[in-house]
Amino acid sequence: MSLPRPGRVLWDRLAALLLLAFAVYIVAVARQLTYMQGRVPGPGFAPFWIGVGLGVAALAILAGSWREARSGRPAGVQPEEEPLPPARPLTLVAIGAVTIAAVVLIERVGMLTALALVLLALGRILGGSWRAAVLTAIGLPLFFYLLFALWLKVPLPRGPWGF
Amino acid sequence: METLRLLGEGFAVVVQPLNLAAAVAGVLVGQLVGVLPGIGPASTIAILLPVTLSLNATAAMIMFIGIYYGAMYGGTITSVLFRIPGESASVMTTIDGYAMARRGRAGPALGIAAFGSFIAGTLGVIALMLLAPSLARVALAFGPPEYATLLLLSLSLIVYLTGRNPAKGAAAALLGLWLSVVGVDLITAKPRFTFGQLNLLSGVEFVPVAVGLFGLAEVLLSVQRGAAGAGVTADLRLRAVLPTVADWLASRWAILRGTLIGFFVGMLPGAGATAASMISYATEKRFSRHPERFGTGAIEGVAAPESANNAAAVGAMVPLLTLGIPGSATTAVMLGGLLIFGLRPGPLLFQEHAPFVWGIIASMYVSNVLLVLLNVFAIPAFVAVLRLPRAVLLPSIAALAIIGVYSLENSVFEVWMALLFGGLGYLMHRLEYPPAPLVLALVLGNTFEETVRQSLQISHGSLAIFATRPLAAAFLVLTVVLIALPVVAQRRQVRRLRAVRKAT
Repeated sequence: MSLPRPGRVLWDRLAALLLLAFAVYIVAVARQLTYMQGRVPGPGFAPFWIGVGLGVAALAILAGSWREARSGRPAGVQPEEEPLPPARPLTLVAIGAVTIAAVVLIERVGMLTALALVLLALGRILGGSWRAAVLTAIGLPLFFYLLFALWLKVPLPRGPWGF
Repeated sequence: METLRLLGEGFAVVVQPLNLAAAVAGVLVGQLVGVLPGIGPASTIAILLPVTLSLNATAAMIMFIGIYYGAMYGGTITSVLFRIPGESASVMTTIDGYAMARRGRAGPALGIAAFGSFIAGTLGVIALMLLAPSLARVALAFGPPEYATLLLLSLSLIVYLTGRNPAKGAAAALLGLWLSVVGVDLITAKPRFTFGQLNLLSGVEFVPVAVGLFGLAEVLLSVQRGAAGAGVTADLRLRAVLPTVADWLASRWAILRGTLIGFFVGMLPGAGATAASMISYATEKRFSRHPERFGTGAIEGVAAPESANNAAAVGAMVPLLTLGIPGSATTAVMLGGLLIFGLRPGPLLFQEHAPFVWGIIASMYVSNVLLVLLNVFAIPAFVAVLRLPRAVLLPSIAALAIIGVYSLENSVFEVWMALLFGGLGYLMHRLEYPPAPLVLALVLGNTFEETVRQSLQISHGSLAIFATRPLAAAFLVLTVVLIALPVVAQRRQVRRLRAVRKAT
């Protein structure tokens, strides 16, 4: 079993604090909704308790993280999966950026063109050949056109060039 | 007798061309995603949900079950040949399966896994057929308090059994519950947490969340995991795949015990196929007269977990169909799909939609037969799929996810939601928050809130209603025990650690 790296613990605590803040927000909003309507729970009842529960869970995660750091061993049961290799942040950011750009483009250049661009860009980012990327970028949107537009009759957004 | 008549009617449903085609398509797709590491049945069903909405509910569900089953069979191939579980439920098979492959016995390992899965799957369906209708009859007597406490128990089980840190599981489940209250409150028509978005008035749609958390997040994680290695080359022709008499004798009890363990563990919410395969592997090792052989290529070490994961996939259908409570991510996505079709699984399903239920049950027999054939005759074809470059496969999955989610409501908003949850799913995985409790809580949240409010309406606001009805009280006590367990265990661990420190 590997010792928790200092970075992991920091991220763990940050996430827990974020959850705690979110729990406070949920409770604050829930209190503006009606908690009880007469003797029956109102719309604020469930969110209030969900917020409280989330807050307790966040505090438990924080407490666990401190215990873990003190005892030098991770909380809970042993891991069952092999740890992931370290992130390649640039690749992941590139994939995220391409995908977001494509969704922005859907209503401007049309669904099929946007997807063709995604396929081309992601194929290249993941180290595929130009040939494979171009073939997928042409072939798959064509298949999608047959499946979604013709067979399932989904009105796909079109670009200025009619598809 | 009645059961046989209903089953006969079920088979009449399955042999309709559309349903049969759905079964074949399902097992083929399932086998494929089973073979491909990283992409599991939950994400596949989520991504395909929008496409299947054009079918009818029966055909869609038959296809989903085929996918679920197929993934259980297909996961074996990668485990044995590459020592990479194609699907999390095949983790245990990597131990003895890969050891067998390195000794040149990949064929029999895959063969016994296929036959074991077939036997376990078929026995499991028989058990389901006998058990489910009576359970459904019992569940008919459930009122809102019983349902509310049962849902609480199920959610706690899921939190307790998925992931290492129950607090993180609980946080995920509570986030899911919060997502379920977003939108207009059904009783008072008051909007909650809609952030001024018209799109959120009708609530958070289930499909974009599932596609994001499982599909898109898995694409990102697959990028990070990197490609599979070269693997073991093996003779996979029919003669090599058929197990010998000695193999059969060595694994017969392992298959039967695996089936039994798998079916019952599979019924528990949160435990599922992966846990079932682990428990059955450990059991086999304990029962064995030569436990030292495990890990060096013992065929029982393949037969037991592979039988167990298939039986568990069937067992998981019991609470889904009879109580409307999914026990795993995959069955949660199935439930989400059924709800979109306007079918609410639960005790009434057996009465009001008998042809649907029995059609599904009959389709499980058919899928089992199709899969054992595929896994005896067509293994080389599926091994070839692994040569498909990731640079083609992963972008294609992302593209299908985008267009699929869009087609659901013809709205880009849902695509943004899927991207948002894709990112969240990736972060959750990195920080070890299990995504399954979130999805399950999202699917069950509305019913949970509804039944709690109905219960308190019945009791005029008194919480005593949950403690005075015997079944509800029993569910509640079990929940409290479950929540207390990890706390007690942790206390004990800390105490032991301190004792060790004092001693040294």
